[in-house]
Amino acid sequence: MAELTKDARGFVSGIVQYLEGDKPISSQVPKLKKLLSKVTAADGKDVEAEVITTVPMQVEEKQKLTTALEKLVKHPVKLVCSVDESYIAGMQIKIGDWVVDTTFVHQLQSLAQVLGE
Amino acid sequence: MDKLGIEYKLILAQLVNFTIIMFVLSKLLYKPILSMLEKRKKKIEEGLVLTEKMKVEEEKMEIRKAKMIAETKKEATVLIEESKVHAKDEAKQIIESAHKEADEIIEKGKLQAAEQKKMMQKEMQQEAIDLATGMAKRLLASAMTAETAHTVLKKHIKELQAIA
Repeated sequence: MAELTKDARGFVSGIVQYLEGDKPISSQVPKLKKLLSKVTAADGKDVEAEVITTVPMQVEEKQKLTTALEKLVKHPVKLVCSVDESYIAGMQIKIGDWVVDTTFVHQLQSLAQVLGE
Repeated sequence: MDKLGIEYKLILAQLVNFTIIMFVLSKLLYKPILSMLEKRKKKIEEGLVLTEKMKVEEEKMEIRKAKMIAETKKEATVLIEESKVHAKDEAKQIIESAHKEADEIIEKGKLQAAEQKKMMQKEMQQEAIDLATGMAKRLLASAMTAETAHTVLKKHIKELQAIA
């Protein structure tokens, strides 16, 4: 991989700060907790969560994510993990019809959309 | 009288003859001729009166004709004047209409140009955004390490835990 120039590093760091700082994950899950609880309570089986990350998840990360999701949906959650490097960073979680996308690609797309408007 | 050769009887006879002839002529010839002459005279007089009347009528007709010609000329002049005025008005209207149309075309052109400019600006803006986004993606992808990706992931999981 070619080494980045000072300007490019500054640019990347700025973008990363914007993507990480300005839009916390909480803003992307409005009323998700309530809705997921309703959906999963009606079903009675384990909830399957499809998680796509840019790097393979570590055991600790999986445990923490499972716990957090189980608290959200108030049901046992089974993670189905996969890797897609094209997302750059972050993760995409799908539970039923609900999607939480914190990937950099998605955030860049949102940013482009906002700038376009 | 006899000595002179004058015979009274002959003279008397001649006088009687003459009177008879005069009477006959007067009855049979003079009166019809005089009547005929009178009639002719009357006719001639009537003809003269008629001619006079005709002359008067002709004069009247001439006057009327002259009047009519004058009136017609006047009317024609008025018509020509009106036509000129009408033509001027129409020309003015045509010019005004042409000006209006030209103004509309110019206005439309300006609007179109403005719209096109706006559209081009939007396209350029979109292209700039696409370019910047693409560049950001490439730079982020090239700069992203597994360690950074895990850091981001952990941060997002932490945020989820906070919500839960």
